Amino acid sequence: MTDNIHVRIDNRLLHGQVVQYWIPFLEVERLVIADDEAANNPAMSTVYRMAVPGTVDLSVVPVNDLAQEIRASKASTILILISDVSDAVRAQKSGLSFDRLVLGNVHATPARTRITDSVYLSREEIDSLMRFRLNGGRVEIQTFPGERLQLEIDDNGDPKWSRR
Amino acid sequence: MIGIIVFCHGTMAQGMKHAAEMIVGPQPDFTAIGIEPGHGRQQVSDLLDTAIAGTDAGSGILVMTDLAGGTPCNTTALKMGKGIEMLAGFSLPSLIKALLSRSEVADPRELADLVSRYGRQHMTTGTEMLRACGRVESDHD
Repeated sequence: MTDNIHVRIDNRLLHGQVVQYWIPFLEVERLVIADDEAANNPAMSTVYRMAVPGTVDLSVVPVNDLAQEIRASKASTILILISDVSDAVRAQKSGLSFDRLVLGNVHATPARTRITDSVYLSREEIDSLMRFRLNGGRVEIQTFPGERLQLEIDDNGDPKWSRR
Repeated sequence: MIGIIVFCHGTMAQGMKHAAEMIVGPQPDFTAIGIEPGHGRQQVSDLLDTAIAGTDAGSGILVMTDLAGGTPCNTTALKMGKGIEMLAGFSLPSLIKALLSRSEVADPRELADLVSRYGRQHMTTGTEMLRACGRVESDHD
């Protein structure tokens, strides 16, 4: 089982930021895209295969198969890309264990409010993240290198994003 | 005529279109679109569909994107076929070449081949340029 697992929420899954920055920075050996749409669409899987650097081993799996995929891997550093918070919750329920969740890009919708320029969250998504945090997990927004916000809980039990 | 869409991160496409038209004048069937933080997959796909519908003059389209593996590139790759070809990592010289050559080639794929070859040959350095006109004898080190 791999020790070094990074779980990143990014609606755009594999894209410029991930290819140009995060994969080399984290020295990713294996990339797992956990997304039902991508896993069931051969054209999307092909595009991601085309985009990933040759040194990185890629798999594209449905969210419910993620835990099993990770258990079977011997790679030293794994980056997992997941579309949104609800899929991350589903991955956790299906047996994937992780203690840090990074939000990279979560696009705007009418139900979501702006947290940063790149991350918008709905009430339900914030509730899920708060539960993860209360169970000892760390939740961070880190779209780019450098800037990082961490989810904390203030004295009233409300979410607070603090710079660290 | 083959339509051209420039599709980039931020406002690069609009800037590239502006720069290219400063050199070759206003161009028909030429559209610039950009993705912004906060855009989702579906929104980006819709943005490209709208641009394709507005740019197709019947001979197909070349979509010139800024970065291989980036969202504009990946989104366009999903729409290839049906007269749409994609190029990744374009530059101003390659864009100008595409605008000036698009009436002379058969289809977007041929245009993409021509333009990508041209783009690769047209990045240079000051020293290389001086050397080419005989002003530098050897590397200054």
